[in-house]
Amino acid sequence: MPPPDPDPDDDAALIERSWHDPEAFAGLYDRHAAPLHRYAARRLGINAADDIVADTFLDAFRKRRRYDLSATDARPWLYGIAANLIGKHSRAEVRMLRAYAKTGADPVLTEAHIDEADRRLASAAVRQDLAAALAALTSADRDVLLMIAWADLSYTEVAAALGIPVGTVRSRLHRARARIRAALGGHDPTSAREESLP
Amino acid sequence: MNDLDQLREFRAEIPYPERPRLSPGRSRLLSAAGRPHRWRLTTARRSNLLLPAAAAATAVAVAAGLAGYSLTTGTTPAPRPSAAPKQHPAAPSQAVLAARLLQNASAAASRVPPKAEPAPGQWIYSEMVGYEHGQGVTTDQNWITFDGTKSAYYLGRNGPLQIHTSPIAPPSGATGPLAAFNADATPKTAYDALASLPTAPRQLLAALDKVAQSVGAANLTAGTPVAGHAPQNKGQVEFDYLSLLLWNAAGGVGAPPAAEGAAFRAMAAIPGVTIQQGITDAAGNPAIGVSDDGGFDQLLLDPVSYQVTGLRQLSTGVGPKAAVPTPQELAGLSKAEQQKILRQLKTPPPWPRKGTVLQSLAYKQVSEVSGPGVK
Repeated sequence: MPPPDPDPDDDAALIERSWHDPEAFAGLYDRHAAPLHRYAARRLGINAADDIVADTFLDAFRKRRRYDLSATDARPWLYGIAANLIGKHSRAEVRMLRAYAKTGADPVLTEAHIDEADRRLASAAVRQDLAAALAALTSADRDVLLMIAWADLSYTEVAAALGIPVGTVRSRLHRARARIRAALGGHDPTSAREESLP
Repeated sequence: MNDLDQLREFRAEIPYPERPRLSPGRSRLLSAAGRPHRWRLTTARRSNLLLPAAAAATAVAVAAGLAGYSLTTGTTPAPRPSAAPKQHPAAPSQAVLAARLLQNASAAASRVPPKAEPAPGQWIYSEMVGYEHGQGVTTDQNWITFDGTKSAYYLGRNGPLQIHTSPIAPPSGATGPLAAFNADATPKTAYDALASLPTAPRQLLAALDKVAQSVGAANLTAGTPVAGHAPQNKGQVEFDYLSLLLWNAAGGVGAPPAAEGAAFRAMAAIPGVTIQQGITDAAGNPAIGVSDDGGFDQLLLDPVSYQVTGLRQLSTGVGPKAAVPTPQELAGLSKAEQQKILRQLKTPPPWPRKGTVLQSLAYKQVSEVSGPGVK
């Protein structure tokens, strides 16, 4: 008996379809480009995110035949590709975080975003400390931390995205969170509480 | 609120992008995805032969080249050059060489002893090597019945053999072998179509012209495997159609020897046909490229046996045009953002320089076998 056909709606099925119908890959774009764009914009700003997203999907399209079809969710694959592209802007990312920490003005936000930011609960001081702490992380630790916090990937998915063991994800996350907590220590007395994550 | 919660709030004011913002990236993707379209057949059903539905999981470069073509594509194929490019001059000596080679091919085909047409359910094994620029080389193993109703492939390297029955019924209402082939390209319809053609070159080409006129030349040739670019004249339509028939037949048991010989003779009579010698096919074997557009889209022949072994497409240096967002998609964006998007669209993606091999396919092995999984 042949195995059942894959779910026609999952990412692997879309990618497999794109092997003989390349335009089917646009379905993957429609599904994941927006959250990926927001993730990249939070790291590098909206204009840079335009390029990161376009380049991520172009790169993914070129590599689509090497995709492991047993992975029904393509997000780890896409975020892994994006991480490589974002990594090329690591210095710019750190520079913007430091500028934010120093001046209180976040270079990645437009004026409209700043108005919205001002309405949020977290104080400017907390945000500036966070920016400083993020800037102080290694890019490898920052990738792990932000994939979990901003892209909602699980430990296993982050490991797949970055091509590292799950144990490394845990250790990097532990280290990164310790630094974030240390930076926020003066602002949040509950910050030592651990979260249960997959 | 713990540290992760606070981090989740950090820059959370950045919204999900609006659709117009993502439009240029999508266009770039479609532009890249549109590249292989230029090798596609005009109907999805034609893919039955060269890309059985079952082969989707493994038929990589082949698949990219020969699956069904949709007219709703967001990209526009690059125009076919109207004249031979400088590096492939169709000088008189070239025409003579091409005619001589095709006459030799015709003679070689005619010398093959005729065989009875295989039964519809005869299994055929093929190993095809595909190359796509930027993707590298891939090998694909497939089994298909002569009538194309069943196909088989291995799922993954060590996976089980998948056997599929085509959901498309064999053509029944088609009037004549050429119409049957147009409706559904299988080894059998290609074999029968070639066998039905007149043997005299002029009559053979006239028969092709008649079909081309009845179904619309653009429909026939826009996606033919050797027509990466839309044909510009009657000769290119004839050449593309003949190449399509021969290539499809080559994926089965070939054509009846006399019919194949006649097809090569007719090809030799098409004006503007040129050859390129000393090239290799995707499988690395020596080949001769036959073309009617100065060498950009080539039918590949074995230089010794003159059997059809492959296809390849060379870059003209001009890529397909990307789709432009509609005014509705642009509405709501600031002028600066609109200008940025339009600027990106105006800058075409990097395209391989003229003469670069964009795609190449080659049959490494094609043989009649006793069943699926048997080589």
